Amino acid sequence: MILIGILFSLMFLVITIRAFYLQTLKEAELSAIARRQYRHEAETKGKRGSIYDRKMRKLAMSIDVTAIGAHPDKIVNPEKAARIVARILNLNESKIRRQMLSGKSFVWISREQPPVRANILKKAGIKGLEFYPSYIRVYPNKTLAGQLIGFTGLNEAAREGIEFYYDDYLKGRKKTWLNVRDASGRVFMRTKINRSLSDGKDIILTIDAVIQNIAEQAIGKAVRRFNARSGMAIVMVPSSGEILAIANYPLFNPNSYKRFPKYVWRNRVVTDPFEPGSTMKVFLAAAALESGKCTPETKVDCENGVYTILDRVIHDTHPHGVLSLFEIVKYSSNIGAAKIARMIGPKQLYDTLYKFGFGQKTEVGLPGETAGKLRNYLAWYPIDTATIAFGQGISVSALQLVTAISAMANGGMLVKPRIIDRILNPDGSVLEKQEPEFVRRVVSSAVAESVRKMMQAVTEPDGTGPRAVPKGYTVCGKTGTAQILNSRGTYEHCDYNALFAGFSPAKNPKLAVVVVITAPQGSHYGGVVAAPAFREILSKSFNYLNVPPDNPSDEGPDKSAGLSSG
Amino acid sequence: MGHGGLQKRMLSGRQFSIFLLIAVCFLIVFFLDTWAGVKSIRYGYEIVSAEDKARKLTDIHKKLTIEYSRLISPVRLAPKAKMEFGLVTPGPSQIIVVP
Repeated sequence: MILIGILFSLMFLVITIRAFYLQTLKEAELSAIARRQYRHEAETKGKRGSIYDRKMRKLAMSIDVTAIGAHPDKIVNPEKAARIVARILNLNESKIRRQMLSGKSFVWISREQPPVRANILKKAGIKGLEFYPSYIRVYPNKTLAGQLIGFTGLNEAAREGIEFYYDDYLKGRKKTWLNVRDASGRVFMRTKINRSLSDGKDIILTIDAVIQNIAEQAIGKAVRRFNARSGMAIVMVPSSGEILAIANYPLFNPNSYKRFPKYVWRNRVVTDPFEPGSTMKVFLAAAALESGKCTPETKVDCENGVYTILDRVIHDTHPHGVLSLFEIVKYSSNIGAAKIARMIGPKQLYDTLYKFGFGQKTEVGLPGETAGKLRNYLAWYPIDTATIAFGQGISVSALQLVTAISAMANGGMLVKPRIIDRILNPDGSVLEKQEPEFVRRVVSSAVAESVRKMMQAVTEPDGTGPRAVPKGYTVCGKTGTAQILNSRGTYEHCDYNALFAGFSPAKNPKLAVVVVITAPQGSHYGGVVAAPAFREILSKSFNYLNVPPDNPSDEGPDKSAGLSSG
Repeated sequence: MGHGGLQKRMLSGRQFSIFLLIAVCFLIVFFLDTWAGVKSIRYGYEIVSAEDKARKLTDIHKKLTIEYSRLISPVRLAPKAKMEFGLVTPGPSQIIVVP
């Protein structure tokens, strides 16, 4: 009995020692081995934020896809594997077979497969295949605002436009998950390790998709009608600086960016400066009135259409005799403008143009914005004062021009243009909201009012821009016909930009619009080429925005009459 | 010594009842803990399964959102309105402003 007792005691002692050894001395090591078997950290990428228009219509969003790769050296039966993969993923079988027989260590089979198909392939159990969760970017409106929104390339790398400029906001951060699995490999507990927000933020633009489409269709029609090289338009709310449309033609579809030449990717409204031509006369008039040296009735001799300054000959499209400042703007006399500019002097002209924002970026928040070119008046040649007055020797962007025109609509206050309305956190709370911002007073409200009257006269039947007026509305605007320097740097045998810049209604402006059509054929006058597109944009936008006509007695006289000049 | 000593070492009836009560409480707690653990793991499976289902439904929702955005896109609707339904922008004489 005692022997049996000793034997059992010894056995119990061995068990106790072994248990102590495993549970205490080896505890850390064995626990780690166990944890490795049932706990697994997995990383996924946070979803990229979406881009919306002001009415929360989706302009850009990401969807889940699965990237599928293969290790050809680990695939047991490449022929059979290629057949199965091609059938399930609906891909070219011979191409897949070539990849699997390539002998490479790794090949991509497909970078963008829907998760449903990827799961079916995963269940086929082909060894050597790897599956990676990924996203692709989709632009459901195709060409709408293509250049403005930009696009992302492989792995959602931002390349242009809003996607590029606001990439830090939009891109998702890595998410780390802790998965706890049972013996069968099924996950029964999943915890997110990093608590910070990992999905990207959503961006709400000030753009209205309907007005954007209206603008794109209008300039497209003008470009096709006049066989022009390209066109652009911008629509802005002058009182708040909100940009409702930035249109570029030819159009661009970011879903298939590789099919378009790179020059089409560019948002030329913001990036490309051009000589503004006679639209500059509006700002010359503002400078002249602000100087106190001129009134709207100040008269100059327009030399019957030919005037020599120093060694330059300046021409008017139509010969005029004596014109007032009011009429110089209405009939767009280059000679009249040159004389008024010399009357007020280069400093006054330069100071006013600078205050209107020319020669500086607007800081709208878009990539590649140009500041245009406005040389300091101290660097001007004597002829520059005259030529800058009618828009040569200065370059501006369409964005700068619409911002400056809007200052006239705002009683002389320059507003900062903006493209972003607000930025949202992934949970929908507002991270940032942009409010209207007035930059400075450019001219007095009395001067702005006088210039508005001149601009309204431009759109009268005997002005240069009657074709810009939609039925039932009043418009303040200015035509422009600007020569484009040729490759030799001269204006000889050159193309033209046809422009119209303005706002409507005259008394209580709701929209400011600039239209630029580049290299039209047949006619190159702003009043003929750009003005109808301007009218169409206003007419359809006002209908959409329920802006009532402010001139209901307008029965629609033939607006195609009037001077055609820039 | 004999029976008297043995009686002293045995538990009294009251002590035995207390011991029994504690043992029963311990057993109850033990079973409750085990039951809770099993339930917890079962719910864990259900939660993960629901999360996976939610992910699939979210994916379908995203695809439907894209399809919806495409269908209501003005790029698609505007020419359709004009060509198929003959809709045009009304002129000023067709607009009645209700004060």
